[in-house]
Amino acid sequence: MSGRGSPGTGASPPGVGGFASLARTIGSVLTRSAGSRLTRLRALTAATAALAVLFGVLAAIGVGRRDDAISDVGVAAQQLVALQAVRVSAVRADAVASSSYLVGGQEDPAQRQDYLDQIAASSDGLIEISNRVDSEAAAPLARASALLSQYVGLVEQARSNNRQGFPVGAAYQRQANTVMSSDVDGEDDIVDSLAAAEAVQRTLVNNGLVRAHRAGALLNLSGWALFVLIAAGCAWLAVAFKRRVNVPLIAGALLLLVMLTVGAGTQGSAISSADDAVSGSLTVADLAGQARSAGYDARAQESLTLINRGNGRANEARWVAAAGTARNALDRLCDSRGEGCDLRDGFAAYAAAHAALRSIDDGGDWESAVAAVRGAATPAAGADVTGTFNAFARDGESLVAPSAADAAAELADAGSSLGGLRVVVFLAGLVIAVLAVVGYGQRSREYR
Amino acid sequence: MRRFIPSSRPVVAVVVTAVMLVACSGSSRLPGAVGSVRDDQPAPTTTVSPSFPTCSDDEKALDPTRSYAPTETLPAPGAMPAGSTMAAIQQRGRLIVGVSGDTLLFGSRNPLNGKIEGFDIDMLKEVAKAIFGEGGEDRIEYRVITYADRLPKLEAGPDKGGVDIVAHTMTINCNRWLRIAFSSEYYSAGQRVLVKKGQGFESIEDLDAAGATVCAPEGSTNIDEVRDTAKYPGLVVVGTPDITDCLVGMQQGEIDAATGDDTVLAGFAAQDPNTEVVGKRFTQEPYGLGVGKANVDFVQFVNSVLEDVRSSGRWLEIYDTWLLGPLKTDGVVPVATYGRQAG
Repeated sequence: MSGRGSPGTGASPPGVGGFASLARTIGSVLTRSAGSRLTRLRALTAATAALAVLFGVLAAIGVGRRDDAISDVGVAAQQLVALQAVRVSAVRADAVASSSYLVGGQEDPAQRQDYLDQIAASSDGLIEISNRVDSEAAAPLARASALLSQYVGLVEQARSNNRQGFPVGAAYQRQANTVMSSDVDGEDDIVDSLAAAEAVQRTLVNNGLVRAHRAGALLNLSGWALFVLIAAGCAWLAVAFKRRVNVPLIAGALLLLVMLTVGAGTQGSAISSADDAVSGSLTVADLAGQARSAGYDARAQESLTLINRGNGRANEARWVAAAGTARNALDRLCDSRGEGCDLRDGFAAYAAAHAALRSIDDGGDWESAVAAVRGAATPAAGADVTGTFNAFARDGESLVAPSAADAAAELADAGSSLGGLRVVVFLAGLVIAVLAVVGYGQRSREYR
Repeated sequence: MRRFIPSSRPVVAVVVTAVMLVACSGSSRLPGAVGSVRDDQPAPTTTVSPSFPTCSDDEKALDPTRSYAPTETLPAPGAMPAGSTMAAIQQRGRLIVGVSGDTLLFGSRNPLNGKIEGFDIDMLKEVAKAIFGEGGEDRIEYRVITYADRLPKLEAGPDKGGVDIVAHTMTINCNRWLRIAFSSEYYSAGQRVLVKKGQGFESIEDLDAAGATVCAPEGSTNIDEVRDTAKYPGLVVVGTPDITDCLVGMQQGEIDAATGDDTVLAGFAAQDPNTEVVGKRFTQEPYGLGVGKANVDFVQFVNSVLEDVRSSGRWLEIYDTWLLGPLKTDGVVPVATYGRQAG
């Protein structure tokens, strides 16, 4: 314990001198304190062993909490991706129903099947997710589920009236679209309910990451407290018993340092992997999912603009809003992550085709505009909205699916080493306790 | 032991640094949901609805159905007078019209062929044929508009997203004359009520006495009538963008009755056999074709076309096609009145 370890001498980080100084102080207190050496030795043995066991327990709890927090992030991420899949299915069903309405009694069986498949996927997805989420997310999901039933009823009314040639069907179709996605703030709709449930999952992801970061403190605080106590004990023994080396205690201190180093490395790797998964694959899946959902909403509004022939101003305004959401999501994706740039180009192509479609309709050629939306083999020049949109939807799906799978795998992998670490740090605490008892026991026997 | 702590300084330094990095590093965050407006874009502005002029009591005392006298000699199709509104339409190659897309019998889209058809539509076809000649009906560009959009679309005009002419079960009245011009009356309707069968309501008075919820489209003379609390203090009035929404509301059990012109309600009854039109007409609703206020020459031209339609028997043919079956009464050709002076 020379002055070489004192703060401000040399290039050591500020914390090191502090620990040495604290150890010296404790050693000095032990030297000056009242009572016999044997009593102090016994007290120090008991304190070090107890703190070593406590370290083992607290470190195991801390590592376990981090493991649990990362696991929670993984679960919330999966729920988020699943919710987005439900939202895309629901909005896609609406887009199909709206364009099917335009063909009246000559409904394409493939389109009808697509609508039924998307509704079934939404409904099944809602039931499955509802069974897994907590009450905060369950409330909006219950609303979405009830609204989906209402939506299906309205579409069937619209379809039934439309097939009989009753114009009241258009009013039902409009109302169904409003149940799916209303432009009135505060009005319940399926998209908003699902968005609220998604927001809960995003919060759970972020809160889980914060908890995971904080959970490392237990291992560090208890570990460094134990290290200071062992170092102080070594210093006191050196002074009191004129012995420089106590092998068991030094072995215990070294094991502790190894545990702190390995713990820091393993935990750092785990939290870094979780951070990377959230800011990488999960963010890509989330943004691309939002873009897809907004894209399908825009597609539904496109058909409704034509259903409300010449009076679709409100629907066109909603197309602009939905397209704005899709563009913003894709801009974020491409500009900040460098991914989805092709998808952004694909959406731009669809938006250009939509602009051409509007020109055709506004120019009075409603029939050609309808043919383009229905996916005519030879759409009017520049207005291939069906082809460009289908390409965007396909590319979006091929970006979302692997990104979501990557995020799930990365988050599962992130916490995989923490289970083993939890056991190791607990056992290390017990071993250090034994080494402390043995180390102080040697001096105790010499003293007697 | 004295060398122990100093010699461990590099190891401790590494451990402390690693531990601090792990303990103190900030976590990543999943960004929130994306909005439709970028942060660097201005927020959308809201518009204030304008107020419109109303007739004085003296003006209201005059017969609102008086229109401009018809053109003495109808110009030959395809040879409209130079500089006239009709010549501009002919030069454009299409007549832009505002119609209803969901008023069965008057203006609605046939889902089997996608065509818009009805009594109003046939009137417009007569006007188009008079301008363009045979096949003129194929030169009509239809814009389906709501009740509330009928006057604004005429005020805007075809060059600013509006229309040349509106045929949309539109009642001629004094206040509307202050904003647009009307043809002579082409159909005489009246306001009645549509109720669910078996509910015990036989008239607007029954509904009023029961404090029933009655629906009518915003921007229509029908809703103005039932909102007159001096006449109907008990009614709970619900306004919708389009009258078809009233039928949806009835079918969903949200409202007790819909009120509108008997012609429109007859179309509803045809779509829903559980409803019926009841009571007497409690207003007179003379329908006119709407035209831009400044286009007096076009009003005169349309009035000449309507004179031909009335006198040739074409009016009765059109009536029989669309309305004889549902209304079950013979059509009565409306009498045109003129005498309005331009300016």
